[in-house]
Amino acid sequence: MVSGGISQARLLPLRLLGLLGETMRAMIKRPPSLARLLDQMHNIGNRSLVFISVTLGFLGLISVYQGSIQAQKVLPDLSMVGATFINVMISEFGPTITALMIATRVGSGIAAELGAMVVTEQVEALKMTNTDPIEFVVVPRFIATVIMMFVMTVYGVLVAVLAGMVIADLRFQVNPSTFLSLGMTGWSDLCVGLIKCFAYGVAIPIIAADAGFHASGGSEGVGQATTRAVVNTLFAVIILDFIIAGGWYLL
Amino acid sequence: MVPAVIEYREISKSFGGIRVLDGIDLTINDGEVTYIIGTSGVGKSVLVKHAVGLLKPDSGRILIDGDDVTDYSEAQWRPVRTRYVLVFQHSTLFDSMTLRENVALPLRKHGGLSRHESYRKARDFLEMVQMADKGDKMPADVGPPERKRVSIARALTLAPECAILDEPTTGLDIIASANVDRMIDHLARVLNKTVIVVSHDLRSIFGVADRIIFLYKGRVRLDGPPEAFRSSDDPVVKQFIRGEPTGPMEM
Repeated sequence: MVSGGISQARLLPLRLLGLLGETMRAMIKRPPSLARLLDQMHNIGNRSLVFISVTLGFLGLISVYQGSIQAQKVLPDLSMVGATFINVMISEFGPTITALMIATRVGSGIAAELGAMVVTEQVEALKMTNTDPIEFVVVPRFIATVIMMFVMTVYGVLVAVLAGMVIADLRFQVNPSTFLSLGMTGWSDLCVGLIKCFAYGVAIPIIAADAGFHASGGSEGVGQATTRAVVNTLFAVIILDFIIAGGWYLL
Repeated sequence: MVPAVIEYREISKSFGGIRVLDGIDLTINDGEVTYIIGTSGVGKSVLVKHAVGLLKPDSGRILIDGDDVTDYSEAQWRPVRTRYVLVFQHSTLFDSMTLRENVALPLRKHGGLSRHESYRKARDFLEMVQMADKGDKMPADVGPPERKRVSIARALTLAPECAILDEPTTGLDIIASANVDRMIDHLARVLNKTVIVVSHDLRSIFGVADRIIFLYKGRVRLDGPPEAFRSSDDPVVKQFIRGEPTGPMEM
């Protein structure tokens, strides 16, 4: 059992690369219709909006509150709190926390949907109707997740910054115009944030789709595939964050 | 001599170390209604899925119309799947599409028809199975007998030479089962299709079959007309016909 698990884990990166390659091929060969793409983007946005608003909103409140309390001990004033917070949100927390939320909500949804299609033979039925399951099922979700990863990150950063700005003004009397400073954020911070968005947007649907395609054994198998998708996508987001942040620092 | 349409030569298939098919040698003849029967898990569905390329044998060869298709790629299987269609056990309609869209899908993907044209033709096929007035409904909005009829309509859209029906009467009441039997009879006698039916339903088998293939322990135990099956001295066959819980049959 253990050796089986290890060999499966070894095969996973290869399988994911294979699925990514097939998805890219299918995407170039026959892009999905705009209607299907918009439908998937709406699904992803709809599923994640409240979740991201609450999570990033509270993250903004807590981070600025705790950060300001600590900063007050060593700094004469809090004029740079906003600039520092915006820098961290754009380059690190914005994309990563948004990706963790999307991995949980959207990744699990993709795995459950595909898993259910596999165990009810819908994927085989697609083959019988001359429809490539990857083209039909994965490609629209893949493109939609990549696009919505950027959209939801921008939205999440805005929510967190606004929440941070409110607490900074009410609790620490930091003027909103002082708080909303991009003085510490350069192009390189924006670039690293965008690279992370793209990497997460690619990884989440591919890992979730792989888990869904490997579901077996009825509803229990779908549940296991969903759990596997959530665990693997969260793990991937953390690893990618480390690699991109580390790589950028070394450059 | 009646020409063979599907030939299984020494086909073996295992799943997780369990041998499901054990050197099956079998020929399906043109224009016949062949019933493949046996207890649950004996490999009936596995056997028919090999004929449309959804499964690949571990060993042995499969010939369709004299061509060896064992090592066919997905692209090579596509034209075969317009001539040999499979209706899945659980109907397997696509949840996200209306009944009309389900029937229209192979017309667009295999037949290359436009959306409008495929919908118009889909209506004709839905009419054939008395479902034209429900074309706008989703699969979840209709019952199992209606889903079964729509899935048969979808399979017939490409005017196949051979229809393979996997347990078409399972889960249906006696009237709905009789309707399916009538449809099978119509396919064979009026439309001159070769029909392969996987079934447990003895009433249906003795009413419609030209030939019965009884699988037991991964091998063909009996192959002949219904009379030969009914009058067989084989204690295993007798136990199956009588539906006795105890006897020589190993489950």
